[in-house]
Amino acid sequence: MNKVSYDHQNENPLSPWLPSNHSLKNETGKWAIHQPSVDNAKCIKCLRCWIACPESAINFVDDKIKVDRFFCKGCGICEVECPTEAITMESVL
Amino acid sequence: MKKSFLSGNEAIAEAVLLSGVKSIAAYPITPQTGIVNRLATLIMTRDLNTSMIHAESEFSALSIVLGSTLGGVRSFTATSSQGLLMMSEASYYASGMRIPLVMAVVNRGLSAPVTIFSDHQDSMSMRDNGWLQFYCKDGQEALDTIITAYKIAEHRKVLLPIKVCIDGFFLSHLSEPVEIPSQTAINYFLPEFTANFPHMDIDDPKFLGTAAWPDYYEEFVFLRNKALTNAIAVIEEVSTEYSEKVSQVTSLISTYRASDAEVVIVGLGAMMSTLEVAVDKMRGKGLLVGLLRIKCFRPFPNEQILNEIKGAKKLVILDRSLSPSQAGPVFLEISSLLHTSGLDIDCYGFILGLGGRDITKKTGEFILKKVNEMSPNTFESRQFWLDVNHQTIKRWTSNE
Repeated sequence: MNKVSYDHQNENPLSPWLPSNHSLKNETGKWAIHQPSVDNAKCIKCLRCWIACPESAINFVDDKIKVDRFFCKGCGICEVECPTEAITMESVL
Repeated sequence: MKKSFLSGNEAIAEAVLLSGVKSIAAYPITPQTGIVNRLATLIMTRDLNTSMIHAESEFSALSIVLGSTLGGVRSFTATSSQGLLMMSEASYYASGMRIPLVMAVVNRGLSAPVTIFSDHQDSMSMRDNGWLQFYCKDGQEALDTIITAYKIAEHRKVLLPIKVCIDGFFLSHLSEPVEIPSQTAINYFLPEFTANFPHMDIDDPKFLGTAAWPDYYEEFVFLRNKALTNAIAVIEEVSTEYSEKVSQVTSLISTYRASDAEVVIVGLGAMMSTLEVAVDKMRGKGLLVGLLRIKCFRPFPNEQILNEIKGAKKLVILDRSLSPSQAGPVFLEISSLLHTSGLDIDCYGFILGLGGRDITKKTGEFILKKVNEMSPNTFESRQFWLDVNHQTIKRWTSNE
């Protein structure tokens, strides 16, 4: 579990709020049991995985699919959505 | 100041528009429907620039007004009974995120058995969600309370949501003369809405309503509780200001012939104005009886109540709701207050008027008769069911 700090709270009243970009520091990738591994030979670059990823953890870099392992929680939606079975979930434990 | 013949629901609708509310979201439920109906009509006929959303449920209605308040406009919603229960999850967000909005609750009993008629069980079941709770005695007070509630909710020391409760049908549907203050007077009293709390701001984006783990959660609750307690002084201050600038309004409690009373009857809402007639009649017979009406139930005005009851010999606490197996919620508050203050006054808790059962001026005399027969500090004196029909109970249980 990542520590959430409320040290920025100097306003009264204290409503629980966090500054913008807080999620950038939150390493949700630590939650994952499985993360996707991409077989670029099978990938047809349809970007369905990129659309479906709820964490925006799939990037399209240098004409290739790249998984952001810092954020990927390992839900496996991309594996199901991939029409060519180019994505398989592999244990990261 | 103009005088109109209005129902409680209509008086609340007038107050909402006088307060310059710009966002309304609601879902219809009897007996609250009249408020939303009237608001929709007035917005159309007066061509007002107020957003009116007919939500698909009460959960959505409250969530929409949470959002619009965070977006920077004064907002309003209204509900009753099951609708209030459906709002319960979102209601904790409203107090937890310190959102200053005002909601009218037209009190109605809870199902099952299904009822559309009045008791206080719905708002009492939301007693501990961190909102302020006001119970009004007539349409005039409902109007004045809605307007003052916005100023109280938006006060820097409070910043909490407020429920303004009126008894279903007894107040919501019966019409009586109501004085409507002028818009000029209200503008002089209530400034334009400014979001002086963490809100949605495009130039300063933030996450609102975030998580707090065990190292911070309790501090948020502590400060929210402190704000609710601080609200006592703010309610007094704002009510005085309203009385000076607009018209007389009750702040926390009101009394009726209680200064020399030996028996003080304590209760909430519309039944207390009915009992004023009963008190006059009993006073005519030489009985020293008076009334203490608690308008502000949350925060609970402990000191103000103590001041009024310390000379009494007997307290009769009327509850139109029940904490099962124990007593009515008002009785529990008063008896804990008496215990901690060391005052030794006999306390009698009466349950009555559930599901719309009528409380009349005869009820007042019956109360006094019963109190004289009962002994204090017994289970019966904690929850005496004043108007339950024992013949029906006997018939229904004859085979047991």
